[in-house]
Amino acid sequence: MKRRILKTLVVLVVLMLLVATGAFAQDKPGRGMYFRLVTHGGNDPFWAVFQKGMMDAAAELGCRADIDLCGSDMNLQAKRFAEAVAMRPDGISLVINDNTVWDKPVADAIAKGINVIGCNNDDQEGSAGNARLAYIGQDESRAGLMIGRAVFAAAKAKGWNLSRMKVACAVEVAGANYGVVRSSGIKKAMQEYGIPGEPEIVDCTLEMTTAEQRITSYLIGHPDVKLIFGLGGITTDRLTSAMRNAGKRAGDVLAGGFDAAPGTLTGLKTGYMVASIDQQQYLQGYFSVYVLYLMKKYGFAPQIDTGGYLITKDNISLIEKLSPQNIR
Amino acid sequence: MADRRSAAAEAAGEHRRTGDGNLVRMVGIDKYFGRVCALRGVDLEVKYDEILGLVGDNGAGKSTLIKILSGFYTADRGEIYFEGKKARIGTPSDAKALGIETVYQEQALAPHVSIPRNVFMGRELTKAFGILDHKRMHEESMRTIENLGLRIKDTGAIVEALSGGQRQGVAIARVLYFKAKLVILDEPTIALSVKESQQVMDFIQQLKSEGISVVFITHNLFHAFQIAERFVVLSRGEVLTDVRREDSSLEHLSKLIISGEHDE
Amino acid sequence: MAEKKLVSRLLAYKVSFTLIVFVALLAIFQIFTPNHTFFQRANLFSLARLAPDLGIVALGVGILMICGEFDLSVASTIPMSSFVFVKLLGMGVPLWINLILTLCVGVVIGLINGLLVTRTRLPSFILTLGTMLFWRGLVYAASRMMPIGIRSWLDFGSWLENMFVGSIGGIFPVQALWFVGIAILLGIMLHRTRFGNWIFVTGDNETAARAMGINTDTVKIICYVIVGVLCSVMGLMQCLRIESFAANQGVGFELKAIASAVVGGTALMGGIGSVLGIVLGTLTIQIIENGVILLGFPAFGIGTFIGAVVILFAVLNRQISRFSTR
Repeated sequence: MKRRILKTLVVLVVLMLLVATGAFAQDKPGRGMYFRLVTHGGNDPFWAVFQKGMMDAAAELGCRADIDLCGSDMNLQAKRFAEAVAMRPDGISLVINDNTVWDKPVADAIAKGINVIGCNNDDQEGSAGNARLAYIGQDESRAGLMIGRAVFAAAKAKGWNLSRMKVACAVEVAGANYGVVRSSGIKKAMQEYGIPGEPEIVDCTLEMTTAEQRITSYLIGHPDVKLIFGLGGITTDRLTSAMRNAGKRAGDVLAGGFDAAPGTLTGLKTGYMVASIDQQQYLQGYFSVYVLYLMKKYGFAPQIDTGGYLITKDNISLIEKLSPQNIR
Repeated sequence: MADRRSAAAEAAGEHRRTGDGNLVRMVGIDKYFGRVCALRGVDLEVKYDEILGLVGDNGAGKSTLIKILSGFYTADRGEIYFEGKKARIGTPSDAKALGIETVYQEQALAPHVSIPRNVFMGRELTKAFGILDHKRMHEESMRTIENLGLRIKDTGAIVEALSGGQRQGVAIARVLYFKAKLVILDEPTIALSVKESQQVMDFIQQLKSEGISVVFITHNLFHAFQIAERFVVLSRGEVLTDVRREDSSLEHLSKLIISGEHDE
Repeated sequence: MAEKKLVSRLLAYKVSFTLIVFVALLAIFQIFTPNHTFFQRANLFSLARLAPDLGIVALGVGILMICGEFDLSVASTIPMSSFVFVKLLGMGVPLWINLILTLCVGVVIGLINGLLVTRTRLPSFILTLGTMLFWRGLVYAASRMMPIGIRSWLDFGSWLENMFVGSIGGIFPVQALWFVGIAILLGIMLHRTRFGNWIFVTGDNETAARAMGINTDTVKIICYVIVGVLCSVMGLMQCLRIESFAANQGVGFELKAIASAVVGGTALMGGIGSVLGIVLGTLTIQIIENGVILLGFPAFGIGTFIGAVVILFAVLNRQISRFSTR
C-alpha cells in the first residue's frame, strides 16, 4: 500500500515538472524545436563557453539543443552525426574539421531535408568543398595573422631586429588542423614583418604539467628564440609559467596565443604576454542555434564570422569579469 | 645434526601426551562443494612421532581432507580433536596456533623474495614500529635450515635461484622453526629429481626425529612406502583402508587404489 | 666467484641498471647540450619543480604494482581532488579543513578501488579503467570543463601555498622536498617493515601469502588508499601551482606512472620492485623528455622517443632479471 502511494506521488511530481517546463516554453518562439550540435570538442574549457552560448540561445528561444563532444575522435564524431541525422532534428550544426570526410554525410543529410550548417571549423574550400548551408565561426588563418601581427609589432616597437629572429609555436596536438591553420596565419605575419624561416612547432600534449615542462625545456635549450606563440588554450595558459621557469623576465620573450585561460590572463596583466585571441566561441554556439532556428522558419542562410577579438592588457577587465561565467 | 632432539621435541615430550597416543583425531568428516560430496564420514588418526601416508587416486579427497585440517576449509560435519581436546579450526591461523603447519603443493614460497623473508612470511621478526629485524631473521632461518641438513651456498639468494629440493627444504624449515607439532605435506616430491626427492625424504625423517608428526599426500607409492609408517587410502571421499606398513605392500596399496573397493 | 657475487648483489635491487643508465644520461645530456644547459640552475630547478608531479604518483602506482595490482584511476583522482579543493575554497572552508577533506577524496577513491578489486576478483586493470572513466566523467560534468581560478578566494602567500608549492630561500622548490620525503617514508615502509614484506609476497605469490595468514585483501586495499592519497596531494599541488583547477589535469598520467615504475625495475607481474628504482625511473623519463628537447631534437615528435625508451627498458630489465638475485 505504501509502495503504491509512493509511486503515485512520484508520477504526479514528474508530471507537474513536465507541465511546468512545458508551460515556460509556451511563450517562446522556438518551442518544440530540437537542434543538435555535433562537435569535436570536449577536453578544454573552450568548449564549455561554446556550450553556454548554445544553452543561452536555446533558453531564449525556448527550444531544445544538445551538444556532442567527441574529443577529437573522428570516428566517434561520424557516428554521432549519423545518429543525429537519424533523430531528424530541426537542424544540425557540425564542426567540419576535415576537407573530405564530411562531404558526403552532409550532402546526404541535406538531401533528406535536414538543415546542416558548419560551425567553428570549416572545409578549406568553403561552400565549394562542402554542401553545408551556412558557416559560423572564426577564420583561423586570419586569427593567426592577427596575433602574429600583434606580437611582431610589439617586437618592432622595442627595436628588435626581426630579420634575425626565430619564432616558436607550442601546440597541444601536433599536426591537428587548428594548429596547422593558425600557424600558417602566423607564418603570413612573419613574412609581412620580414622574419625568415618557419615557426618551430613544439609538441606539448594536453596535460598541463607536461606542456609547461616542455615549453620550459625548449626555452632553456633555445635561448635565441624570443618570439613564442601558444596555438591552443592550454599551451597559451602555460607560456607565462614556462617563461618564468626558464628565468625570463617579462619582455625578454614576447608571447601571444589563443583563448583566455587564467594563466593567460595573468600573463597579459604582468606583461609576459602581448595579446591573446578570443575566438568568441560563445557566439558560435549562440548563433548556431539562432541560425538553425531562422533557417527552419524562414530559410535564411548567412555566413557569420565570429571574428578574432584581440585581448590585451587594456581590455582585459571585461574578459575577466565574464570568464568565470563561461561567457568569454 | 648432532642435536637430534631439538627444543621442540623436548617440549612436546613434556606435554601430557594423550592416553591413546593420538595427536590428531578427525571423526566423521563430511564435506560438500555445492551438490558434490568430496568427503563422507571420514575418520583419520595421526599418532605422535608418526609419519602417515595419505594416498589415493585423483579426486579421492586427500587434498580436501588436509585443507580442512589446516584451516583452509571447514568441514560440514564431524569433529577434530587435537592433543585430546576438541579443536575449532576455522582459519589457517587457527591451525597454526595449534601447531599444525602445512607445506602446500605450490610450495607456498615467494620466488623473488629472499629466504629469510620467505621463512618468516606473515610472522616476521620485528623491532619497534614493525621494522624488520633483518639480522635476526637471517640468522634464525639459516640456523633452522642447517638443522634440517640443508646446505645453501648463497644465503642472500632469492628463492627462485634454488633447486626444487632446496625450495622444499626452505618450506619445511619454515614449519620447523615455528614449532609445528603436526606437519602436513601435499605432494612434496612432485616434479623433483630422484636426488632431490631423496633429499626431501631425509627432511621428513628429520622432522620425525624432532618429535613432529607428519602427514603427507602423494601419488608416488614408492616414495610413500620408503618412509611412511602407516597408510590411509581414500577413494571417492571415503576411507578404503587404514594399514600399517608391515601389514601391507606396494602391490596391495596400488591394487586398492586402482580398484577403489574396500579392503576385505 | 667473489666478483660474481658482488655483481649479483649490486644488481640485487633491480635498481643498479637504472642507476647506471641514469648517470649515463646525465653525463650525455650535460656534455652534448649546446652551452651545457642541462646542469644550469634554471633547468635543474625547473626539473625539481615539475618532476615530482609524476614522481609522487609513480611512487604509489609502483608500490601497488609490487603487490600485484594496477590503478589507472590516478589520472582522474588528480582532477577530482583539485576540483573538490577549489569548490571548498569557494565555500569559504578554512584552509586546514580543506586540506584534510581534499586528502579524503583520495582516501575514498582509493577505498572504492580497493574494495572493488578485492571483492570482485576481476582484473584491476579493467576495474580501475572503469573508475578512471567514472570519476573523470563526474569531474567533467560537475565542472563543465571550465577552469576555476583560485585567486578569487586565495591570496598569494598563504601558508598552504608555501607548504606545497613554495620555495626554500626563494629558489629551491618545495615540491622536490615532498617527493624526496615521501620517497623515503615509502621506502622505509616497503623495504624495512613487516607490512612491506606483506606487499612483496602478496604480489609475488598471493596463495602463499594467504596460506601464511596474511590478509592480502587488506594489504591491497591499503595500497590503493596510499595511491589515492598521493594523487590527492598531487592534485592539490598542481592546482596551487597553476593557480586554478583545470579539468584535464592528470590526463595520461596513469600510463606514464606505470612506465616510470617499469623503467625503474618494477615487474608488471608483481613481487619485484623498489622505491629507489621508481624514483630513478621517474627521473629518467623526465630527464629524457627534458634533455631531448635541450639537445635540439625536433620538438615535434618527442613522444616517439619516450615510447622507444620505455620499450627498451622493459626488454633490458627482463634480461637483467636473468642474472639478478636478492
